Amino acid sequence: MVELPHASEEVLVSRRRREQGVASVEAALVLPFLMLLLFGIVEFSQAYALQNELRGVAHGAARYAATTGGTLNSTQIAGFVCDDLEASKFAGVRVDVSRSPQDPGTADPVGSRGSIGRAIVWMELPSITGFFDYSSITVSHTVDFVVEQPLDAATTWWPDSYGGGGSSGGFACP
Amino acid sequence: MPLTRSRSERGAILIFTAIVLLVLVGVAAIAVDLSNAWSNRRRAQAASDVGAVGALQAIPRTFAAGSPVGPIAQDEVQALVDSLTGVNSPGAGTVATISADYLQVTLQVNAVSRNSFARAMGAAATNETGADSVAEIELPEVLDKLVPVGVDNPSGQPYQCMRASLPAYSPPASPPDPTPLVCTSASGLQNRLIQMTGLDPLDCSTSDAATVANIQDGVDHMIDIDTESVRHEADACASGHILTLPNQANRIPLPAGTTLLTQAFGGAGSPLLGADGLWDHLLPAPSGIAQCHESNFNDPTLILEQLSRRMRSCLQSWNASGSKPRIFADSIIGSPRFGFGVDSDSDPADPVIFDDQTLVWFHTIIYDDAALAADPDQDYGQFLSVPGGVGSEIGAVTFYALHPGMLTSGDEAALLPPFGTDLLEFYIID
Repeated sequence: MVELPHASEEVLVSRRRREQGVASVEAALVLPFLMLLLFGIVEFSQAYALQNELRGVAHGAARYAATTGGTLNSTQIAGFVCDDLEASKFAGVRVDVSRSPQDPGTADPVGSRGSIGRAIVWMELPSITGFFDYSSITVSHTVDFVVEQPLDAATTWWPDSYGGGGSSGGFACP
Repeated sequence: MPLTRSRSERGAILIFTAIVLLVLVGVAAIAVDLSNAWSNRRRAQAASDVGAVGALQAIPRTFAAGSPVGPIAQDEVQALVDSLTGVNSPGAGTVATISADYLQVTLQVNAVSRNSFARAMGAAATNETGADSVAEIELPEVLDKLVPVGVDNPSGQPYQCMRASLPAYSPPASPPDPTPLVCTSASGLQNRLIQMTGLDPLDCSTSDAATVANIQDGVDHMIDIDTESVRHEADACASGHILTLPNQANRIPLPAGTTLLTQAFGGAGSPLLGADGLWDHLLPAPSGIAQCHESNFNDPTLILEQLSRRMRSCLQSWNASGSKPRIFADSIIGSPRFGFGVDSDSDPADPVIFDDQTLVWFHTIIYDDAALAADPDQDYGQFLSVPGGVGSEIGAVTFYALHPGMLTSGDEAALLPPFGTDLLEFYIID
């Protein structure tokens, strides 16, 4: 029959000593996961927020392009869109307005009324915590729209293709 | 007892963390999925905004209030919003509803979001989020009476000559010179030109470029159609030089009994057809005179709405520049080309001449109502330079569906429906 050790003062003290720092060790074990979770939340939130903002920018660009169709070329439209952006928030953002692949492709030049244009806004995802490198991840938003503006002396049309998604192509906001 | 307490606290942080983590992950899952759903809803809302506005433009329009556009509209609109939404909110379903008067499109975009994480917590597999937008076109009051003067040919069938429906024609009792001059165009068509009293003498020799231009300007002369030219018109119709409106069943139903003899300026093989297959401008721009015209009308939905906008825009710029375009030519690709000009002589019943071989089927005047009322005999052309300003009227164009009756009487009252008299007014809008 095994006799359970009697809880003498010595045993208590030694056990207490052995358990000293356990909390810290456990905390050290758990902390990385908690921090990862926390940072993940921050980063994802930021990415979501940026995505949302880019959607707004893309729709703004589409609206602008739809109502100035044919009177402004892609670069001019992008220039106006960029003017309205906060440079620090949208560092490296690129804007493109072009013929949508969905345009029926009639003889009508893109930019004329009823043609379908495409606005794309994209930028590299920045890391807000600085712990991640997203240099290969691009946040973008694409909007197809119908051009509304009637044309009177339209001479500038949008290009057929766009450079959306890459580090080149489109119009880089200054 | 110290011992028991100590033993019971062993591993407390791990347990605590495990519980908290469970809650945290659960909340995070819900947060991610909800955010995703909200994001999708916003996306759907944005997509429906774009789609509804776009769809509104795809509706062929007659501007006849309540006039049906035809079943083609619903399919076209649905196809358009589907293609737009496919990019703007991928995976979302759309329901486009066109109002009975075709002036309003309600677009519903239904996005489905997957619950990737919250699903493990017992949530449903998907979230459905929807958004809808209503886009509406607001017509100027007068536009709802406009009779379409040119429509496309939706079925791709050749245009139908309508000569068979031409009633017997009686020569006009007036105006002025009862002795018409016969001008033979290069294509052998003959038009009868009646010299207007008090205006430039008419020489209808088509070899005289200045005279041709003069006629084309449509300023000084009146073209009239007598029995002989009706015959010529029939010949021209048969030879493809004159086209009339196609079967309009799909797009532009005309009031019952309307004989809308919208005449094309040219036809297959006609010299007026450009090398690109589009109609050339009807009217060369006379030097020094601003011209309102448009050749990029190869959109089948481009009907009077667009035309009127362009006319207005042109008139506005004209008004602003102080110069006077005396010609406004326009066309609808795949449909009879039509044109109209400022009639600067004193009789509102005077048609305008566009081409030496073209029978004029539109009676067009641009005038200022107030000034006209004040002095019916004024030169209407002058009224077009009324001072600009938001809301001010700068002119009006009257389209008359041609019926020989109008040529007989010269009386606008005779042009009332079923022959289709309608007025398009222009206002400076911005």
